[in-house]
Amino acid sequence: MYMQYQSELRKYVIPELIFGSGALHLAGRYARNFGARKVLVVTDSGVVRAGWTEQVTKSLESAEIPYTVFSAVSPNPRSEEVMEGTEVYLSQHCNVIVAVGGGSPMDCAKGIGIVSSNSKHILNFEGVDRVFAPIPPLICIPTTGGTSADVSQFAIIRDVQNRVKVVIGSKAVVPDVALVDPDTLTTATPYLMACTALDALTHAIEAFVSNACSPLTDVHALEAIRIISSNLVPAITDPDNHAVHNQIMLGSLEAGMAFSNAILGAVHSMAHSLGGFLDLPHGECISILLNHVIAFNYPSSVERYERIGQAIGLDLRGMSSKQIKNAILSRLSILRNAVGMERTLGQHGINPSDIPKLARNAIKDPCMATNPQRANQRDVEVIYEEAF
Amino acid sequence: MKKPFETQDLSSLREKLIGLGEQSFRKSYYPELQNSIEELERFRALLDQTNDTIFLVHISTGRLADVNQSACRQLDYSREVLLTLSLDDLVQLNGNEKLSELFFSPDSGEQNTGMITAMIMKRNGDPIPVEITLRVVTFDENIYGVAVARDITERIKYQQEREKRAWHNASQAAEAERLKTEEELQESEEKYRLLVERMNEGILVLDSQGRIIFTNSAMNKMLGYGVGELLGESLFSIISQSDMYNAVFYRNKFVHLEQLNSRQYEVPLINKEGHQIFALLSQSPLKDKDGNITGSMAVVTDITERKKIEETLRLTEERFSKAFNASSSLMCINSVDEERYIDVNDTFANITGFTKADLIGITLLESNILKQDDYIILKQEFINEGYILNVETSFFTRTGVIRQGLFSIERIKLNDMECLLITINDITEYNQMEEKLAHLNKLRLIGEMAAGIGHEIRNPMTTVRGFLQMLGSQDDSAKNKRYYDLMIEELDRANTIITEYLTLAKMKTIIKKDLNLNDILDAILPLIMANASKNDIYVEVEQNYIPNLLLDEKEIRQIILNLVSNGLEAMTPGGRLKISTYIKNQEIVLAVQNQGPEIPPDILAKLGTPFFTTKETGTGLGLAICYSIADRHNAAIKIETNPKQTTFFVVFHP
Ligand SMILES: [Fe+2]
Repeated sequence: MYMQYQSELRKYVIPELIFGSGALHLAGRYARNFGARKVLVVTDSGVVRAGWTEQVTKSLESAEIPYTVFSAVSPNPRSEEVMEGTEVYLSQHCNVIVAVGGGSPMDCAKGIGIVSSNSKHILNFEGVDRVFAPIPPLICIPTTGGTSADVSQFAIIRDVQNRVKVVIGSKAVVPDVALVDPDTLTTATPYLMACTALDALTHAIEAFVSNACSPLTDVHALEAIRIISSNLVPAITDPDNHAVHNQIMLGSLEAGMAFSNAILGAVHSMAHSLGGFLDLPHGECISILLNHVIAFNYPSSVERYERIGQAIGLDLRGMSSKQIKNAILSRLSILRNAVGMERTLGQHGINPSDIPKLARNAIKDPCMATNPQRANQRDVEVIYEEAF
Repeated sequence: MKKPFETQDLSSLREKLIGLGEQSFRKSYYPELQNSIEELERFRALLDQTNDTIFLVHISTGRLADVNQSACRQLDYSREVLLTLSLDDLVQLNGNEKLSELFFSPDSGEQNTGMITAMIMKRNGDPIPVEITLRVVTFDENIYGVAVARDITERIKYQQEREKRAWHNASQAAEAERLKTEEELQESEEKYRLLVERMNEGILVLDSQGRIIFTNSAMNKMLGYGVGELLGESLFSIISQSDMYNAVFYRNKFVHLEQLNSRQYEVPLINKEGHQIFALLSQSPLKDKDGNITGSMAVVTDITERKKIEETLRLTEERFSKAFNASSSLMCINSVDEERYIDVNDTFANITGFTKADLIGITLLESNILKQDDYIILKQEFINEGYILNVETSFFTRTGVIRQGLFSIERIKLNDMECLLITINDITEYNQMEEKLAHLNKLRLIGEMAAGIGHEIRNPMTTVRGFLQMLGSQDDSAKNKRYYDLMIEELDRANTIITEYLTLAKMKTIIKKDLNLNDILDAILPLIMANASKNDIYVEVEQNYIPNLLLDEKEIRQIILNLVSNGLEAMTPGGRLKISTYIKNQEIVLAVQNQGPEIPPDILAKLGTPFFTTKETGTGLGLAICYSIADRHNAAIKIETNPKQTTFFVVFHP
């Protein structure tokens, strides 16, 4: 698998990045440098309650930039919300977007950017490279350690009518600036922390075994796996530890830098399909599926999984490849249980009869293109069944 | 296993994902910016070239925000200096107003647009007369005033000269005229009297009380009175009383001369015998030397006849227009000479897909609804015969769909103008219906025959098969064994054909229930998937919301399975079969699309005929059964085929 693609060209794109405590206070300065007349601040009610939105708007105020706040964004942002946000953006004559929050406000902000400059309904941009007109300047301020929407080229929007998630992928939606501030993790609930950190860990794992991986992304992927796996449990048990926040945020950022360029795999394809169908948090879907996809992919990437095993702190010397696989899977299960993510697919109210439909949508997801092992309808159905 | 289709799809998707696609670049505003700048430069050049001076003004301060080059040139200032001045420094109005205050009206605050004339001062203090157009514009929420000033020095000079010349000419002419008039006065009075008497129009003169003081002979004749009979009568006595309000209205018009200008009215008059006459009155006031009004004079024309004709014409046209618009045929009216569309009816617009506005004004040929050859044939026939009646010709809709029509063309007169009335009787559906009916009849006939002979054949066959089986097991020589097997296989195949044939023919008792097509599809999907994956074909299913229908579950299963297996057989491994359900035009559609080769037209025409098959092992009954099932469900089967894919549609009319 890897031999086939080794001689291929590779590209590496990430936004301008500021990392560190206090980064979010730079929002005003960046907006002014982009020539902001009026800023649309996209956020959600949870982030507003935690106070981060206000910190950002204060920064805008001190730069004397007028703004409008749009916070009607659901956990899995919906196409209608994107259209509503665009309405606000256009009617208020905004020209710069600042997104504050987790993946949802950031994805919604990307959607608003796309629609405002391309003047078509958001669902028209499903797929890869379908966005032609450049979107307005976009500043992303993540407040969770996971989604990496602040560095990625993806926006995931939920089509409520059809109960599916629409993946929009284009280099044109990579944000202009990401202000990554670990302080924002101080207000995360343990559940949110667990969901987002497991998502970040999965980003790193999928990027590392992706058939589009390269030395440029491997460095970040392995480092992210190492950092997140060793800080995941402390992040839940010791929620006020700033050093841990710093590590989780850094790990998530590195995972983002890896997967934005090496792309993802079957875990994300299947999680998108599941999340579209059930409106379940993305991290929850990811954590249900991760182990079962690894078991499926394992034969295609034995050597790479061994390096992942070392990165999560296992001593694999003298083990057979089967023993290594089991060691990795059980370590990941332990991690998952330790942060309280124990439920299976069946416990989330899925019917076995839903599986063919879920599998059909998962196969269509763009992330399938970089999964190391080709998977057909039946393969995906079996993985869902095992996760049941 | 190789899957050429998917592999190609996936690898190009992957290429784009990792950023190596044609369009996979980060956003760049530069090309757009470059375009905008070039456009601005072109625009700027245009502004600078014009002779008008253009000023952009900050409304709040009155200061100039920008000026064009002609402003600098004509006023002899540099741009830098102009931008330190205000508009009021440069422009002098006639009154005390300031130009900068004129952009908005002071009381309403609404924006003023309009033109004023004023003087604009050059640097050396010379005034230039100009005409200034004012307008208010908003950029980036700032309000600006735009003043465009045009030099009118030349125009004023020209006007002044012309006025001077005109005045000079007029005073000379007036003197000569006065002398001549006095001489001619005597002579002309006599001439006028004769003229009035001999005129065809009636003349009626009233005094200031509305009494008749003069009528000419034409007037008397019109109303049937003798000479002098009407003198001294009130105007009331000759205005029709049928409509009192109008009568009073007309009388007031005449007597009080509310409007002093000469005017025309249509008035219903009444003659001596009491019949109503429509008359057109042109009225003008009579004045004495001092200009006091002493009465009025009217020229009266009898328009009764004209009125009648107009009315008949109006009714005819109304009837025609109703028939035209309500007709279910396509109709249009075209001019005779260039065949330009004058009007088209709703049916024409609906079927061709053109709007009236699209067509009116263009020629028949330009509208492209006819093939050039057909047009020439029709035209020739029209020239030979003077009309065309029910000539079958195909025509095109706006989107290029071919339809069949019976063309009739005749000359008609509309509003006194010769026109062509083109009528097209659309027989597309009729032709299709005929084909369909013929097909169904054939099916039914064959079915009935088959049912009759089916049993007669099957019974002896059963006997033969039994003996073959027996002989095969008894025969010692194993070498004949395969011949026995072959014979039995062939018999079984024949039997299958007959069984399927009987299905087709039997008026089976079908049990229709309120079911959803999607549920039936879901139930047999596993079977379809298994079949497809055996052939290495990928099945894509797209189910949309559809309402329940009255369906026989077994028959619908069969129709789906037949269409799917048809599709699977048509494709080579690695292909994609798509099954979808949806609503279109209020009809419920089940579509089965395969990526098999295009069906040639000669085969397409025969599809669904029993025993017609292109497959080596087929019975040729699958599609025939589909047709008869569809028929029993009041559904139609349609086929679309092209080199990429072939789709069978089952269209249910709920
Ligand atoms: Fe994710």
